[in-house]
Amino acid sequence: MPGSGSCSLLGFAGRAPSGPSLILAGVAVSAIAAALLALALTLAPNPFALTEITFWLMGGLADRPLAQVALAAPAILLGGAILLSLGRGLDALSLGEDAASSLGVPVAGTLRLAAVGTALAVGVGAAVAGSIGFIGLVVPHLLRPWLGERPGALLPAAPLAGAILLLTADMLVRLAPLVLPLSTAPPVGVLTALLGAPFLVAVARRAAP
Amino acid sequence: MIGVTRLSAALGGRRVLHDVSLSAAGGELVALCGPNGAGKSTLLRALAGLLPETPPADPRRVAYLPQGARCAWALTVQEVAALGRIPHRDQAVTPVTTALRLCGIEALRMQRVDRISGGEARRAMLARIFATEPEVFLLDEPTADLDPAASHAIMRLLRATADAGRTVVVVLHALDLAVRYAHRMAVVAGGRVVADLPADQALPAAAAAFGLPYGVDPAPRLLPPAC
Repeated sequence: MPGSGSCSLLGFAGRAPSGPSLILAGVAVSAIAAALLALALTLAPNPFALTEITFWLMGGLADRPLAQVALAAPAILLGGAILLSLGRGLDALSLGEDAASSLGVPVAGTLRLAAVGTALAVGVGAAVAGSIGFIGLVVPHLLRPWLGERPGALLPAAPLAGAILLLTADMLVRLAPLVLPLSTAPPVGVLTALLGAPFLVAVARRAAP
Repeated sequence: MIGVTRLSAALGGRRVLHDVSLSAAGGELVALCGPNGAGKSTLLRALAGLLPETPPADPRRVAYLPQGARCAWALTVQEVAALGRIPHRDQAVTPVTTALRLCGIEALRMQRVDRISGGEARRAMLARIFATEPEVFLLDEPTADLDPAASHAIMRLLRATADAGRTVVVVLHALDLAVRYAHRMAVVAGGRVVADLPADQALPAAAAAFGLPYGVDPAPRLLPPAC
């Protein structure tokens, strides 16, 4: 779903999305996704399937068999390789589309590859692990003070830092029942959203002029 | 050497260039002057090969600075200048250092572009062009945010670049800078090049394009710095 989402996002926003139109397109895509989700829930054949969907939606790494990892790995690696190859193009695009094309960067192709690479890596990852939000939004902001803001420099570092952050969060939720009065470990997606959303708000407040 | 011949171009369905021909040779500094909306920027983008109607230029040979160029991320001055090496696909340090020195921002090279003044950021963008070491410089209002002294410094640098054999085409609103530093002035009005003259003879045509009277004004004004 995130895969088709990022593709339709580009479709909605047109070739040269400005900030506001991209945000509106994001709102529209997430509304469509929510509607499709509600449809899937109502079409669930039995209560067991309903529970399965709900658990998948909460997102987590627990109880995912290696077969699912093997299923997801090729697409994630391919998507990651595509994204890693875009460093120069994304660097150039920080000067705008005109300057990027004058530097010899194929702008339309770079945007399309970025959408395809993201769709492959994130879409398949979410299909296996469910929706674990905010890791991808938070990690680049955490890294910028150390690595600078050049996209090409963040590109290889962000997935590594994201993996570290996700595994840390996963360990925390699994240890939670030991110290908190919980009968089972909460889904990791709950923790990342509870911590990630306020963090993003703080980043947005600091970025505001 | 760069140019377009009998080019017509449309932008969003509206024709903005009508049968325009313009060329600039090595060793020449050509200023494009004219009213807002006359088609100067479109003509410059045509020279850069950025219009659907024009074939793309070789990015190692032709460098283009868009109007109001900004950087979406807070790169350092040096990182911005180093983007000029993208067409060469190398990380050569010397051209970047030279470019920073030419643009007078060597001391700022580790500063983030969102923490320096507008004029300094403009020079960082210009350093990106110089780092490419192109044969042809296409610059859209490179002095827009600069104070008079910095404007003269940049124009003097561009003149020296042209005199060293490069081709420089600059969109300029400051006619006094155009007259003083350019070899030629092309006056653009209504999507046409209405005059293409040695810069010191082009003022009457430019005045006509702006609809302003032309004459000698003895009011005191700032003079360029002594050499």
